[in-house]
Amino acid sequence: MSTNTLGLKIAAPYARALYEYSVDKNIMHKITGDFQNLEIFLNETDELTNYLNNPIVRDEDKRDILTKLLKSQVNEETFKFLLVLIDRDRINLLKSVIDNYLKLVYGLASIKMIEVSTAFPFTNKQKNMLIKKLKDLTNAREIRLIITVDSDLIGGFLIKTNSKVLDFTVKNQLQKLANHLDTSLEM
Amino acid sequence: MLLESDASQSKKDLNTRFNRALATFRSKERQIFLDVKQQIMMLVLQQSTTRAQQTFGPKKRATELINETINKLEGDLL
Repeated sequence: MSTNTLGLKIAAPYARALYEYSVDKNIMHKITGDFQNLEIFLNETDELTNYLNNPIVRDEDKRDILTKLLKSQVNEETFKFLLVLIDRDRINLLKSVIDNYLKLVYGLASIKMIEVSTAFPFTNKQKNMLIKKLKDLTNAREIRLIITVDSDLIGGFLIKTNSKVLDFTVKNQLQKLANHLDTSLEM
Repeated sequence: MLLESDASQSKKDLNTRFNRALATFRSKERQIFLDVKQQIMMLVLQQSTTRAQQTFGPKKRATELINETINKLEGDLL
Protein backbone atom coordinates (compact mmCIF):
# COMPACT_ATOMS: atom_id res chain seq x y z
CA MET A 1 0.00 0.00 0.00
CA SER A 2 1.15 3.49 -0.73
CA THR A 3 2.28 5.37 2.32
CA ASN A 4 3.77 8.34 0.52
CA THR A 5 2.65 11.88 1.20
CA LEU A 6 0.62 12.10 -1.98
CA GLY A 7 -1.12 8.84 -1.10
CA LEU A 8 -1.95 10.14 2.36
CA LYS A 9 -3.32 13.37 0.87
CA ILE A 10 -5.56 11.45 -1.51
CA ALA A 11 -6.68 9.04 1.23
CA ALA A 12 -7.65 11.79 3.69
CA PRO A 13 -10.86 13.00 1.95
CA TYR A 14 -12.08 9.41 1.55
CA ALA A 15 -11.54 8.77 5.24
CA ARG A 16 -13.17 12.07 6.17
CA ALA A 17 -16.20 11.37 3.94
CA LEU A 18 -16.67 7.91 5.42
CA TYR A 19 -16.23 9.27 8.94
CA GLU A 20 -18.90 11.93 8.37
CA TYR A 21 -21.20 9.38 6.76
CA SER A 22 -20.73 6.97 9.67
CA VAL A 23 -21.49 9.73 12.22
CA ASP A 24 -24.51 10.80 10.22
CA LYS A 25 -25.90 7.25 9.99
CA ASN A 26 -24.86 6.37 13.54
CA ILE A 27 -22.78 3.40 12.39
CA MET A 28 -19.36 4.64 13.45
CA HIS A 29 -18.85 1.80 15.93
CA LYS A 30 -19.60 -0.78 13.22
CA ILE A 31 -17.20 0.67 10.67
CA THR A 32 -14.55 1.29 13.33
CA GLY A 33 -14.74 -2.34 14.40
CA ASP A 34 -14.47 -3.49 10.78
CA PHE A 35 -11.53 -1.21 10.10
CA GLN A 36 -9.69 -2.29 13.25
CA ASN A 37 -10.03 -5.91 12.15
CA LEU A 38 -9.18 -5.09 8.55
CA GLU A 39 -6.04 -3.25 9.63
CA ILE A 40 -4.79 -6.37 11.42
CA PHE A 41 -5.91 -8.63 8.57
CA LEU A 42 -4.10 -6.57 5.92
CA ASN A 43 -0.92 -6.46 7.99
CA GLU A 44 -0.96 -10.25 8.17
CA THR A 45 -1.75 -10.89 4.49
CA ASP A 46 0.85 -9.27 2.29
CA GLU A 47 -0.38 -11.30 -0.68
CA LEU A 48 -3.79 -9.66 -0.53
CA THR A 49 -2.26 -6.21 -0.14
CA ASN A 50 0.00 -6.78 -3.14
CA TYR A 51 -2.91 -8.14 -5.16
CA LEU A 52 -5.05 -5.10 -4.43
CA ASN A 53 -2.12 -2.79 -5.18
CA ASN A 54 -1.34 -4.44 -8.49
CA PRO A 55 -2.50 -2.14 -11.33
CA ILE A 56 -2.45 -5.06 -13.79
CA VAL A 57 -5.12 -6.96 -11.85
CA ARG A 58 -8.58 -6.10 -13.18
CA ASP A 59 -11.07 -4.31 -10.93
CA GLU A 60 -13.49 -7.22 -11.39
CA ASP A 61 -10.94 -9.64 -9.97
CA LYS A 62 -10.25 -7.35 -7.03
CA ARG A 63 -13.99 -7.10 -6.43
CA ASP A 64 -14.29 -10.90 -6.56
CA ILE A 65 -11.51 -11.52 -4.07
CA LEU A 66 -12.87 -8.94 -1.62
CA THR A 67 -16.35 -10.41 -1.99
CA LYS A 68 -15.08 -13.92 -1.22
CA LEU A 69 -12.89 -12.85 1.67
CA LEU A 70 -14.73 -10.02 3.33
CA LYS A 71 -18.38 -9.70 2.32
CA SER A 72 -19.59 -12.04 5.02
CA GLN A 73 -17.10 -10.70 7.58
CA VAL A 74 -17.77 -6.96 7.52
CA ASN A 75 -20.81 -4.73 7.70
CA GLU A 76 -22.66 -3.88 4.51
CA GLU A 77 -21.63 -0.22 4.59
CA THR A 78 -17.98 -1.09 5.06
CA PHE A 79 -18.11 -3.49 2.15
CA LYS A 80 -19.83 -0.94 -0.08
CA PHE A 81 -17.11 1.53 0.76
CA LEU A 82 -14.44 -0.97 -0.27
CA LEU A 83 -16.21 -1.39 -3.61
CA VAL A 84 -16.26 2.38 -4.05
CA LEU A 85 -12.48 2.42 -3.56
CA ILE A 86 -12.13 -0.24 -6.27
CA ASP A 87 -14.43 1.64 -8.66
CA ARG A 88 -12.38 4.80 -8.19
CA ASP A 89 -9.07 3.01 -8.55
CA ARG A 90 -8.12 3.89 -4.97
CA ILE A 91 -8.11 0.46 -3.37
CA ASN A 92 -4.30 0.75 -3.17
CA LEU A 93 -4.87 3.47 -0.57
CA LEU A 94 -6.98 1.24 1.67
CA LYS A 95 -4.42 1.09 4.48
CA SER A 96 -4.00 4.88 4.45
CA VAL A 97 -7.76 5.38 4.40
CA ILE A 98 -8.17 3.02 7.37
CA ASP A 99 -5.34 4.77 9.20
CA ASN A 100 -6.87 8.21 8.57
CA TYR A 101 -10.35 7.07 9.52
CA LEU A 102 -9.22 5.50 12.80
CA LYS A 103 -7.26 8.64 13.68
CA LEU A 104 -10.44 10.69 13.26
CA VAL A 105 -12.40 8.27 15.43
CA TYR A 106 -9.72 8.08 18.11
CA GLY A 107 -9.41 11.87 18.10
CA LEU A 108 -13.14 12.13 18.77
CA ALA A 109 -12.95 9.61 21.58
CA SER A 110 -9.77 11.19 22.98
CA ILE A 111 -7.94 7.97 22.41
CA LYS A 112 -4.23 8.63 22.23
CA MET A 113 -2.23 6.53 19.81
CA ILE A 114 1.27 5.79 21.00
CA GLU A 115 3.89 4.01 18.97
CA VAL A 116 6.22 1.72 20.87
CA SER A 117 9.35 0.16 19.39
CA THR A 118 10.79 -2.59 21.51
CA ALA A 119 13.70 -5.02 21.32
CA PHE A 120 11.53 -7.84 22.68
CA PRO A 121 7.76 -8.38 22.36
CA PHE A 122 5.64 -7.06 25.21
CA THR A 123 3.60 -9.53 27.21
CA ASN A 124 -0.07 -8.70 27.73
CA LYS A 125 0.74 -7.84 31.33
CA GLN A 126 3.41 -5.39 30.20
CA LYS A 127 1.05 -3.86 27.64
CA ASN A 128 -1.54 -3.27 30.35
CA MET A 129 1.08 -1.88 32.74
CA LEU A 130 2.29 0.58 30.09
CA ILE A 131 -1.24 1.60 29.11
CA LYS A 132 -2.11 2.27 32.74
CA LYS A 133 1.05 4.30 33.26
CA LEU A 134 0.55 6.31 30.07
CA LYS A 135 -3.07 6.99 30.94
CA ASP A 136 -1.91 8.47 34.26
CA LEU A 137 0.78 10.56 32.60
CA THR A 138 -1.25 11.88 29.66
CA ASN A 139 -4.75 12.09 31.15
CA ALA A 140 -6.01 10.39 27.99
CA ARG A 141 -9.22 8.44 28.35
CA GLU A 142 -7.89 5.59 26.30
CA ILE A 143 -4.47 4.64 25.02
CA ARG A 144 -3.91 2.58 21.92
CA LEU A 145 -0.43 1.08 21.59
CA ILE A 146 1.07 0.39 18.20
CA ILE A 147 3.93 -1.95 19.02
CA THR A 148 6.72 -2.88 16.64
CA VAL A 149 9.55 -5.24 17.52
CA ASP A 150 13.06 -4.24 16.43
CA SER A 151 15.84 -6.48 17.72
CA ASP A 152 18.46 -3.88 16.69
CA LEU A 153 17.41 -1.89 19.76
CA ILE A 154 19.17 -4.62 21.84
CA GLY A 155 17.06 -4.00 24.97
CA GLY A 156 14.36 -1.72 26.35
CA PHE A 157 11.87 0.27 24.28
CA LEU A 158 11.12 3.70 22.91
CA ILE A 159 7.86 5.62 22.87
CA LYS A 160 6.76 7.93 20.06
CA THR A 161 3.88 10.35 20.31
CA ASN A 162 2.98 13.24 18.03
CA SER A 163 5.42 15.56 19.71
CA LYS A 164 8.04 13.50 21.51
CA VAL A 165 10.32 10.50 21.28
CA LEU A 166 11.30 8.95 24.60
CA ASP A 167 14.14 6.56 23.97
CA PHE A 168 14.89 4.04 26.72
CA THR A 169 16.67 1.54 24.52
CA VAL A 170 20.11 0.05 25.02
CA LYS A 171 20.96 1.13 21.47
CA ASN A 172 20.34 4.73 22.48
CA GLN A 173 22.59 4.32 25.53
CA LEU A 174 25.35 3.01 23.26
CA GLN A 175 24.87 5.97 20.92
CA LYS A 176 25.22 8.31 23.89
CA LEU A 177 28.40 6.49 24.89
CA ALA A 178 29.76 6.94 21.35
CA ASN A 179 28.98 10.67 21.45
CA HIS A 180 30.61 10.96 24.88
CA LEU A 181 33.76 9.23 23.67
CA ASP A 182 33.85 11.39 20.57
CA THR A 183 33.72 14.62 22.54
CA SER A 184 35.87 13.59 25.51
CA LEU A 185 38.77 12.11 23.54
CA GLU A 186 40.53 15.22 22.28
CA MET A 187 44.16 16.16 21.68
CA MET B 1 77.44 42.66 2.53
CA LEU B 2 76.91 39.74 0.19
CA LEU B 3 77.55 37.28 2.98
CA GLU B 4 74.98 39.01 5.20
CA SER B 5 72.41 38.85 2.40
CA ASP B 6 73.13 35.15 1.82
CA ALA B 7 72.85 34.43 5.53
CA SER B 8 69.52 36.24 5.76
CA GLN B 9 68.16 34.37 2.72
CA SER B 10 69.35 31.07 4.16
CA LYS B 11 67.61 31.83 7.45
CA LYS B 12 64.38 32.58 5.61
CA ASP B 13 64.66 29.36 3.60
CA LEU B 14 65.41 27.37 6.73
CA ASN B 15 62.49 28.97 8.50
CA THR B 16 60.13 28.14 5.65
CA ARG B 17 61.38 24.54 5.51
CA PHE B 18 61.05 24.17 9.25
CA ASN B 19 57.50 25.55 9.24
CA ARG B 20 56.51 23.20 6.42
CA ALA B 21 58.00 20.22 8.24
CA LEU B 22 56.20 21.26 11.42
CA ALA B 23 52.87 21.58 9.61
CA THR B 24 53.35 18.15 8.00
CA PHE B 25 54.25 16.67 11.37
CA ARG B 26 51.16 18.20 13.05
CA SER B 27 48.92 17.00 10.29
CA LYS B 28 50.28 13.46 10.58
CA GLU B 29 50.07 13.64 14.37
CA ARG B 30 46.41 14.67 14.08
CA GLN B 31 45.71 11.90 11.60
CA ILE B 32 47.32 9.29 13.86
CA PHE B 33 45.39 10.63 16.84
CA LEU B 34 42.10 10.39 14.93
CA ASP B 35 42.95 6.84 13.81
CA VAL B 36 43.78 5.77 17.37
CA LYS B 37 40.64 7.51 18.67
CA GLN B 38 38.56 5.71 16.07
CA GLN B 39 40.11 2.37 17.04
CA ILE B 40 39.51 2.98 20.76
CA MET B 41 35.88 3.96 20.13
CA MET B 42 35.29 0.92 17.93
CA LEU B 43 36.78 -1.36 20.55
CA VAL B 44 34.82 0.16 23.45
CA LEU B 45 31.56 0.15 21.50
CA GLN B 46 32.03 -3.38 20.19
CA GLN B 47 32.74 -4.69 23.68
CA SER B 48 29.85 -2.72 25.18
CA THR B 49 27.48 -3.93 22.46
CA THR B 50 28.51 -7.55 22.97
CA ARG B 51 28.12 -7.24 26.74
CA ALA B 52 24.72 -5.55 26.35
CA GLN B 53 23.55 -8.27 23.97
CA GLN B 54 24.70 -10.96 26.41
CA THR B 55 23.05 -9.18 29.34
CA PHE B 56 19.71 -8.40 27.70
CA GLY B 57 19.57 -11.39 25.36
CA PRO B 58 17.98 -13.78 27.89
CA LYS B 59 14.21 -13.31 28.00
CA LYS B 60 14.13 -12.93 31.78
CA ARG B 61 16.49 -9.95 31.86
CA ALA B 62 14.87 -8.37 28.79
CA THR B 63 11.48 -8.61 30.50
CA GLU B 64 12.87 -7.14 33.70
CA LEU B 65 14.35 -4.18 31.80
CA ILE B 66 11.00 -3.44 30.16
CA ASN B 67 9.22 -3.68 33.53
CA GLU B 68 11.79 -1.44 35.23
CA THR B 69 11.49 1.15 32.45
CA ILE B 70 7.69 1.17 32.62
CA ASN B 71 7.84 1.69 36.38
CA LYS B 72 10.34 4.53 36.00
CA LEU B 73 8.14 6.51 33.59
CA GLU B 74 7.03 9.63 35.39
CA GLY B 75 6.40 13.35 35.19
CA ASP B 76 5.29 15.38 32.25
CA LEU B 77 6.74 13.03 29.73
CA LEU B 78 4.19 13.13 26.95
